[in-house]
Amino acid sequence: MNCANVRRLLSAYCDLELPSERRAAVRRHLHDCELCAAALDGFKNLSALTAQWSDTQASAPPWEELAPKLMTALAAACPASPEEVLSASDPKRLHTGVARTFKPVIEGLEDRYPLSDLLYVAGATMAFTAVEPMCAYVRSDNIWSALSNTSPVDVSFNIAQVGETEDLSFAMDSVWLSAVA
Amino acid sequence: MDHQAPQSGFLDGLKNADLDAWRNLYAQYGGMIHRLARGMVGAKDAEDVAQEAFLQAFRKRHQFRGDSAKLYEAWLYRIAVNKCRDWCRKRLKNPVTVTATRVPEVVMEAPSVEQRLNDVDLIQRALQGVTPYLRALLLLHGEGRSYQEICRIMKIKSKGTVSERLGLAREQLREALARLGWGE
Repeated sequence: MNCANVRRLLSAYCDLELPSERRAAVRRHLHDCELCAAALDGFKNLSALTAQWSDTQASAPPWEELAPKLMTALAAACPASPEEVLSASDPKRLHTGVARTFKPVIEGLEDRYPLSDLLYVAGATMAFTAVEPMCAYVRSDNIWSALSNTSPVDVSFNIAQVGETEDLSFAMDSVWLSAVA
Repeated sequence: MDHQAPQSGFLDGLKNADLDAWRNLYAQYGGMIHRLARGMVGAKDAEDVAQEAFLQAFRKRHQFRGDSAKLYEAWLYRIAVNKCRDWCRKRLKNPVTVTATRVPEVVMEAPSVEQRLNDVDLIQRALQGVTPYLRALLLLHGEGRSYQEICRIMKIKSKGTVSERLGLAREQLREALARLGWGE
């Protein structure tokens, strides 16, 4: 085994991550090569230094600092099922004449519902809002696409068109609807 | 160190936004994620970056596809590493100059408290001289992650590649320390 090969394996040797056969080969090389043996000593010194750094780090801030942020995120999240979305779209629960945004209406349903169901819920939600103009965005592989900026009927039609031409049922993970009175 | 992976039954709680499950997760991983952030971005911004990582894991909880605690752990680490690397990329626009302000002496006996603090300060500054990707490898390994776990977290195909890259990381760290006067 030459120096170049040993240098590639030196970290694994230092960290006891080499299988016994290769470990023995590296050990034989280190016995005869002062340069590689010095490099190994350097690695060991660095390991001691970084362990010392790690030991002296302060502990994490208390959970109470993070918890309110998680609760805020939870409050901003969408309903968790199509049934909840439909329930939330009950016209009795809507105020009229007020600008509002539903975001994201159907998140977290990835791979659990076929695209047609998602589109049905999206369309139903939008139809019930009775405000316009509306925008609809579909997120696929973390890329948001604007599908329409017209009336509720047109929006659901345009989403359905995408559904017919592309199989997004596994990639789409949320639909974002916004409505401004 | 707090190394045990979360139990599998616990994953349902995380996915269902059960705050008790998230509290337990934070108790188990908060320290490690914060240490990783401190090593990656420095103490000043570490808390923000670490909390952002947990917040992102919470927001994306439905996107976790695995079914084991080990995979969840790797997923959480990957989010944290990516958050830190994003921060480093942003900082490239406003680089911070690392300069040698203190040359610690090399002593043969056990280091004094003052010497330990000097070394801690020194390593913190030297870490900033290692490229963010390699710095993440060093810190994960420093947290006791095995090569196999590092493969999973950083999506590296083989343990041989981890060895090679950790070797590079150590070389960069050694050079950064030398620039700061360590070992003279």
